[in-house]
Amino acid sequence: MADQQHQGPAGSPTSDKEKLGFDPTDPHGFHEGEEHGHHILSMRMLVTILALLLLLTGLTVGSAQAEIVIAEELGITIPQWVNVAVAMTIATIKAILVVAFFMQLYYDTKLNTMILLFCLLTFGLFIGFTSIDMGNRDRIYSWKDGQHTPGGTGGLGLERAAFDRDGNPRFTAVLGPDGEDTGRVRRAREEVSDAITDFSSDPEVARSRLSPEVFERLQRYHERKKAYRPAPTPNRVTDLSSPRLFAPPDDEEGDANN
Amino acid sequence: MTSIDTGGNPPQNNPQPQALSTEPRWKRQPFANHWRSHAEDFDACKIGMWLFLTTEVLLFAGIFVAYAVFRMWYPEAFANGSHHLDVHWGALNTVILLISSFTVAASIRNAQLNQQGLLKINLSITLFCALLFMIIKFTFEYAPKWAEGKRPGVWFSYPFAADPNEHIWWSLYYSATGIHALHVLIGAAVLFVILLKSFKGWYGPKHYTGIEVAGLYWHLVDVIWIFLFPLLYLIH
Amino acid sequence: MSTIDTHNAGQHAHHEGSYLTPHGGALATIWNWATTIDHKKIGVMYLFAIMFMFFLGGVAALGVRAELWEPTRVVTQVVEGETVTSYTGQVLVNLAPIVPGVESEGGISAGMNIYNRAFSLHGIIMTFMVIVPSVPASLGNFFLPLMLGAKDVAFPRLNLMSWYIYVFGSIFAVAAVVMGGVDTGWTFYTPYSTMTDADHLRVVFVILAAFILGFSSILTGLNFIVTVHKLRAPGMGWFDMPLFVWAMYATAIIQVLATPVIGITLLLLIFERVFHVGIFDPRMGGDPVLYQHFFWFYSHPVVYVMIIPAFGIINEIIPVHARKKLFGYRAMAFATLGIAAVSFLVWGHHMFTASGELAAMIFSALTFLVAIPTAIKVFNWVATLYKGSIAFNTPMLYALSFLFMFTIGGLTGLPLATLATDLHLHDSYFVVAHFHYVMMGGTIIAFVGGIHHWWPKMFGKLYNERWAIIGCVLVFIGFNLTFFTQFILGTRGMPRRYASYPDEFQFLHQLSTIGSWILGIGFLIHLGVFVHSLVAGRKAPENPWGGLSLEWETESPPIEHNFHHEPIVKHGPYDFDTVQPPHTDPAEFPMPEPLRPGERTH
Ligand code: HEM
Ligand SMILES: [Cu+2]
Repeated sequence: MADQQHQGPAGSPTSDKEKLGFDPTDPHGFHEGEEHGHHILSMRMLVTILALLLLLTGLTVGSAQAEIVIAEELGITIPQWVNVAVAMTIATIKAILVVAFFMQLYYDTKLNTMILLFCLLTFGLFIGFTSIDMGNRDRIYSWKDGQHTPGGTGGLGLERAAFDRDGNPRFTAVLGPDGEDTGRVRRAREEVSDAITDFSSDPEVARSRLSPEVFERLQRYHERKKAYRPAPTPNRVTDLSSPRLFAPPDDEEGDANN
Repeated sequence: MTSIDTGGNPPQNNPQPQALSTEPRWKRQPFANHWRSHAEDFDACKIGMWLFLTTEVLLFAGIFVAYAVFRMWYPEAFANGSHHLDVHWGALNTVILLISSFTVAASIRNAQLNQQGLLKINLSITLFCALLFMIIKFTFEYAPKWAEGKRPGVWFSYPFAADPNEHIWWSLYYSATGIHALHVLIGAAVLFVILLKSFKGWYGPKHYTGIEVAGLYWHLVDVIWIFLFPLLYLIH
Repeated sequence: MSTIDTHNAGQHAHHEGSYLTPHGGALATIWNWATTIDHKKIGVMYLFAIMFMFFLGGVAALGVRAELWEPTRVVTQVVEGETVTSYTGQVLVNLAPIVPGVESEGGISAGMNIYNRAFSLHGIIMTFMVIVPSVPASLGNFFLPLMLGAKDVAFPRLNLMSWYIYVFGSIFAVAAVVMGGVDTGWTFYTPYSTMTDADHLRVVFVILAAFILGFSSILTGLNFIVTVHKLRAPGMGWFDMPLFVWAMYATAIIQVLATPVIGITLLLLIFERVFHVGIFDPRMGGDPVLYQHFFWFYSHPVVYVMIIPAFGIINEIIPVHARKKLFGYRAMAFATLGIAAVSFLVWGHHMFTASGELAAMIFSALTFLVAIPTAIKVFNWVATLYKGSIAFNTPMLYALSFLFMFTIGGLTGLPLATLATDLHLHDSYFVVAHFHYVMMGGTIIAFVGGIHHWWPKMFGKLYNERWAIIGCVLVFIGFNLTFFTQFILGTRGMPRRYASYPDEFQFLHQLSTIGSWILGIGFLIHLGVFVHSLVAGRKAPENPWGGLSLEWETESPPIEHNFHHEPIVKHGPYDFDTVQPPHTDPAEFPMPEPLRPGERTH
């Protein structure tokens, strides 16, 4: 059945083949044997794959919900990695199904599979080496443990991030062309601070105004904020204008941990 | 080195449009003259597409790496952020994309079997799914979240964030789903062109390179979503 | 007739003309070139576009060197009771009237602002618009199909699209320059690229330009991979391909695997700059070093996109002009692939001073691996030259300069890869000299050598050998004068990207600047040679150097469909010991004498 579509009656490819020692339309033998390019999937196969995919989607949603229920109802804390591992395993199986059958890689040339594998290998190198660095900033000098923050706003969130100590916006680009405040940041800050003043002046007023869930969040946020104390060491510089950025470490606590 | 005459393209291999003007459009399609046969052309297009998909995967790799790094740094922010997403919409969109992948795969089968009617129907369903996906994304996911102040970076103004770094989560959420949505749009545009061409009878047995290649792209968009969905909605 | 016509249904007669034959009038010819899908024309268009960008980047470089003739000094005087600040030793400040938005502010003079923009412009143009596309897009496009015996690349339309994308991206960059330029440096490090000059869009323009150029690079790479897999002439197995083709193949793999990462990096950078998403901003919990990881994950592999094609050219020039079989073909092929593979493992060596210590140690160890395949190549070239009958013409002289300068460049990479020494050398002129020795002394030199090697084939005209040699010698002297001094400056502590320096560095800086003038004159002479050749050059024979690969088999310049008949490969590309090159006179290109008993070639 191979290629009858294009092979006309004349020209008799076989005789050329004998004369040249190879098929002139396929000198490197790409198309010898079965015809990989034109596999026709049966409808049953397609439907089965779709059903499996939907099933797995249900499974992954279900297992994520189940983990929450187990944690909340039974009070059993499932380690984080279980959640990640289950979700990613199911996703990988789904992806393999799509790639192998919907994309027909299973029936395709080996070359295309190789291309995909090289792509994944590159991805692995990228994520692997980057994580080695980003995940180990604090590992070498163990005496820095506990004081180290990998960047971050030191726990104060947006208000702190967008404004310096004098309350000026840090992002010049948020300002209009002539330096006037276009109001975006200010409105954002007002929203934040309104809710917070509301809360700290009279928590009960806030409780009546807000839904319990939101109120609880705000409460947590407030507690965190109270608990926050500015970084004692120069490792945690959050204010770039601070002269301490370049000052020698004057940190006894840290050395004591050593 | 000698160069002897060989059969490069035996002429009968490459149909000339004039000679076949009574045949359906797909039979009249010649292949570019640097190929030795139609099968070579088809194969090459597929390899080319797989290479292109490689570049797409590695484009998203950047987002995944940023996700991994910041998740490692701010697990709290990510857990909180992910609670703000509605699993139902996410799951529904997953189902929609899976179905659209199925219909694309089916439309290739239709072309292979010369089922011109079904081909158009399946392509149309795919496009409808794409539309549905985008509607859900914008009206039920982006719009309410944006209104509540759950926005990326410095735009973040949601007052009840439980973690100071939650804006990073939203930055990544919008970047990842935004770039993905862009890919959905591009894929849909390509499939729309394919649909128009299918009305002119461009595709038939062994002559469906266009659908095959566009389909590969569409499946990839689906595969990316298969990973984005648990990463954004399910991992807490 | 026992043979079958190569071309479709006799569409093209056998007497078809060269690809350069004009089609009708001037307008029709321009239209024909603008819409061509012929890989040769696209290669030539790329060549001219790249030469133009090289000229722009070169002018910026001369400006940078001119500024460094004297150090910039701030002079504070009290004149009639008032303190007056002025600057001395500034050169580029004379451009201030024509460069928008460079007023002095906050201790930075207008001249310094222009200096920052000049070196950024130079770096951005030279990397993204010259070196990365240089060899693959021009010579690669032209010769890859010819060397494979194919009629075109796999996807000719994509190929044309890639050229238009290149031009489009370059226009973006040039527009940003015309609007006043950027001062981010070619690496777009945050926060320079996200915080400075918030009032304008030029930085976004340049970043977009680099993003767009990435697509052009990807399309070229994708095209080449498929071409090599699918369009080899009958009889040409993987190990019968010329090594230039291997080089293009390895380059293409890197282009396809690495370029998308710069795409997403630049996209996120634009998000960061325009929307302040905070991923690269430490004040919002982000991390600028993450940007550096992203950037170098692309940009280290891409330095091999720059150098591997140069290896490919040298692999062609040396055996042909030394008339000797290439030493260690397979080792060369595998070394090429090996370099491509290792290139993905070492990006962290650009961030030794910024990243964590653990990662730095791992990356340092891995970086040394690069030296192994690279050394294999250098040794093989030298072994090929040994006892060859070397013709000291321009391509060969360029190949020899390449060997000399690339070796220096590669060896100086090793102290940079060593953690302890890099602490001192990082961001100093030593790094600047290192990468100019590999990028300019390696890639550009090989590129120019390759242009001379293939010029007769591309345009069917011979060039003036004497003037070309004079140009080559000037480039060699000028280059070494410009950059060897920078090694010394770097080890003494001269940091890169500064307009000012201590007085004791001035002599070396001035030598370097003089070198840059000599270099410029050398390139201008080459330009003159090329123009002269196009206008008044003698007609070139099919095979002026006695080469054996397939491109020498067709006419000079090649006919529109490359070959009259699809060639069949019967011998390797470097079998100079056994095969008389096609279209040559045995008197001019005699076969080597048979070895005497006990004699060896290597
Ligand atoms: C033996 C091979 C090589 C080694 C071991 C090596 C090593 C290094 C190292 C460690 C650095 C970082 C220096 C620093 O910033 O402190 C560096 C910088 C650089 N190298 Fe190489 N290199 C090699 C070959 C090449 C080649 C072949 C090219 C390009 C064709 C190249 C281009 C560059 C560039 C552009 C930079 C500086 C980028 C910047 O900071 O602006 N290197 N190299
Ligand atoms: Cu490097």
